[in-house]
Amino acid sequence: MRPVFDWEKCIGCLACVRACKTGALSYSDENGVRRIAFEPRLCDGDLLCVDVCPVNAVKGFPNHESGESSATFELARCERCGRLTSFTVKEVEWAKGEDLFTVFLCSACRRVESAKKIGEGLE
Amino acid sequence: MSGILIDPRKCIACRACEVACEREHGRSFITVFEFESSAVPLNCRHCEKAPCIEACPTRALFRDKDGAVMVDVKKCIGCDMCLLACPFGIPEIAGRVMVKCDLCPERRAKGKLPLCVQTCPTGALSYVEPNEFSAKRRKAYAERLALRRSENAPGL
Repeated sequence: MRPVFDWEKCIGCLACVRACKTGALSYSDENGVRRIAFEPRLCDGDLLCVDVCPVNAVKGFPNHESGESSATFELARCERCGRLTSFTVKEVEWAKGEDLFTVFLCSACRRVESAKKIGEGLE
Repeated sequence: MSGILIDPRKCIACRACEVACEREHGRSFITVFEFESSAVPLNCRHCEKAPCIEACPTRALFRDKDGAVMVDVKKCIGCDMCLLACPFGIPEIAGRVMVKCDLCPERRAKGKLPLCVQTCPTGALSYVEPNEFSAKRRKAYAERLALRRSENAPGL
């Protein structure tokens, strides 16, 4: 079995890259842009990437000759402090669609905002 | 299911909880935020409907018998999905896996309180059932109200 990536569907979250034990999947974050690449010669076909993908952008095909492929994604900024985060714009849009949040904040701002809310509850 | 409940009214921002947590875990999983009129010690809320558990693609996050949200480091791949899902900004990545407050499982196994709760000198942190906490708050509020009334209208 070999994975085939639907880069249109992919949100660039890196779950597959982190699950991959062979190094066939790699990524780099530079200047606010993430690049994810698949190198089929290193792939052992265990399809951990398929198991972990939250949006079903990877599918396994038997006897498939996957070609090298890659995609780029713009990284998102915190909507409060403007800092560049490790999440892609597509990933943030997906998470908003999943109702995870309406305003995208980085972890540091989420902590401050929630602590503030807990403190304000007193007044 | 007990959790750590915060009473910011009592927090004096001494940061003893942060020090205690670091002593137990090697780093602190609780942070005190200071504002103009209050201070809030914030740690993992161990949510009843935990968005991090739902977001985890490898099922590395689970709830233990005491109700604590825990990370199975063997299953965690450090993918950040829990960071994206957590409304409180709690999960952090360290050594390629997610780390956060675990309510001190070794201490709990011995019937002890999480170390931050044990250490807090003012009782701003308590390890209680949420309903028990609410009941205490209700009573405290009623007492304040009664006091105010007796001060404003003595003899009534």
